[in-house]
Amino acid sequence: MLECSNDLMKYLTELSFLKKTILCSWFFIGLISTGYLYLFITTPGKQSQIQYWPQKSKIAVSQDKPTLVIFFHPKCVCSKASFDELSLLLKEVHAPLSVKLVFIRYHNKTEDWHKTDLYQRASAVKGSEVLNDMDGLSAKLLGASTSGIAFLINHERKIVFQGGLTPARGNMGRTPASAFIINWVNTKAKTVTPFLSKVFGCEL
Amino acid sequence: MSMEKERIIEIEKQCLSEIRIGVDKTFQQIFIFQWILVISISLWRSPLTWIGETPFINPHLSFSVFFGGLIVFIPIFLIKKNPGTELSMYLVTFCQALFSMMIIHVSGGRIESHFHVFGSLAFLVSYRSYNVIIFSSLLIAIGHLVMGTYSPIDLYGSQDISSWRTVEHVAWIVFEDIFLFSILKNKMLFMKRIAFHQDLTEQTLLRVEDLVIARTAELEESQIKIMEQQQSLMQASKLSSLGEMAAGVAHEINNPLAIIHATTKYMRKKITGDTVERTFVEENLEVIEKTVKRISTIVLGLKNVSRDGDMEISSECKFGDIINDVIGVCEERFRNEQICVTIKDLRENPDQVSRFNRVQLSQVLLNLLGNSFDAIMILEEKWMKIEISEEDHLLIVKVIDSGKTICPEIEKKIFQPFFTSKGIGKGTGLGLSISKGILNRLDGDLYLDKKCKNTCFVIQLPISLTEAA
Repeated sequence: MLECSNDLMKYLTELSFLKKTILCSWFFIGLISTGYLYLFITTPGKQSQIQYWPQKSKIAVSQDKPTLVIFFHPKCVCSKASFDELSLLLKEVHAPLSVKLVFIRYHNKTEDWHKTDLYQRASAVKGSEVLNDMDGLSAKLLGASTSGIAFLINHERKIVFQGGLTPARGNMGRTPASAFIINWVNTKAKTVTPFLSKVFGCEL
Repeated sequence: MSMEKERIIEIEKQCLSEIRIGVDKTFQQIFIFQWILVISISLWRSPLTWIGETPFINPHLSFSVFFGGLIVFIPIFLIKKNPGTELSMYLVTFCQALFSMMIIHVSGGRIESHFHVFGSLAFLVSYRSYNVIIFSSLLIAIGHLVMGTYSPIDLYGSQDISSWRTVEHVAWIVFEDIFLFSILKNKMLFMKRIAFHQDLTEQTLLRVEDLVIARTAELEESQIKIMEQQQSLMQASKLSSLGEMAAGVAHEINNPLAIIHATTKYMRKKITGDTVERTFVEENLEVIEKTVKRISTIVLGLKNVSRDGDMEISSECKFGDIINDVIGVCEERFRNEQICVTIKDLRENPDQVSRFNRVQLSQVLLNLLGNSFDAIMILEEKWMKIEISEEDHLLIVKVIDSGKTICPEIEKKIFQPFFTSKGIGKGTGLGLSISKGILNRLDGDLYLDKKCKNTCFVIQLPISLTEAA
């Protein structure tokens, strides 16, 4: 092995300056592109600063039970994982919970453009209400800018949770966010300290 | 280190190099396939990312295209330029490990995609290098460690992964490595055996070659000796033939001499007695001149026939002249035994001049005529016929005599040296074998015409050769 390694080192040292440069550049370009991708995957969307559900919002929240509102970009593939995670989450929720799945709707796009797989799947989630947010006005009002962002609001319109349900872009996996929502709803907790979680997805 | 061991190692290295070149070339195709695969997975999973209503190419897709391209092109370029090197081998290993991690990543950490690692290791065994397997396993282990620590979701498709999962994955790789090392050991052993056998074959071949060279030299030496002996035998045979002819020749010359003697005696008598007429003298002188010419022809014929044919360079002459030389030598002998000799030239141009080895052909003809003479001397019907013809650029000379066709038993042995059907002390048994040898050397042949009801020997000579020689 030592002999072969020496051969390799000898071969590498005998390469011309140009070849060495190309080889090093190739290695570093690879590293940089990997780094860029890593950042793309792991960089979360912006968080909302809002603490209470606005009165002006067209999305009504329940007065007698918690409401979970999730915003979706109709074309965001990464949000499929959020759906899967939501389905799992809802299976573990035993207390009453109002679920509203809000899809951004763009006025200059056709009906077909909006009717994506994601939209069809949303309609199939039991006990949920699918809403359209024309030109994302409600999302803007809340400061929601990333597909998959969820808000859990108590009966006093206080936002007790905001953030994503998935651990990364397009990847499923049990996160503290899901655990918090399940626990909070099931125990009918009174905690008002908001729980924040990172959100990953396309920009709304 | 002995020469044999050095050669075995050299063969092993050569064998290994050829195998590695082949593996490198296979990996060129595998890389292209993997690149297409990674791009396809990215396209299938999420080709676009959105900012509002504006689509952008998903960085995963760009990553698959560009980073995948980088992984593909450098090794492909290197393999194309310099396949089978250590560098190309390690680069392929490195890139293959990158591809494994990439496929796992773009498939969202699907556990099934981890099989690529095992598949790659199995492929890399083809390089027949323990180092490559170790290097690849190390890279995969490092990749698992880094990704497992910083981005487990990309590696395992889930965030809630225990750090022991990485240890388990590495352990499975080590488990596969154990099997691969065992396979590799067998492969290397097999290669060593092949190298050993090839060395053995090479050595045997060398020994055989040496033996062939030695034997060829011996054969050449023997051939020279045989040729020398053949020449001696030919000369002996010729002398024997000449000896046999000596009586006839003596008689041949004796007759004209008797004519000269009688003519001069008669002239002397006339000169002393009466007045001699001019016409009488002229007539008798003409007889003497003709007779002297006759003696001269016999002597010339003898001279032509008895020269050393091997030293003779072929010269331009008519084939008829060669026949005349031979007939001139034997004519008197044939006449004494009342043997009628006819010459039949069936060629379109009997006076055609070509290049012949006059002496050697005379010797062949003399031998054939001598044999015929011995054979038919005791018969009631005594004749000889010489037929000359041309056929497909071949000069065909048939020497036929009144004897019956030769029986098959004698026919089989007739051209063998030292075989003779003549009585003891009459023949050497070399005449026909030497004659056949002479004609074969001239690219011709001598054979017995079995179809002929009489004894017929056929001389065959290529005309083109005779003309050009």
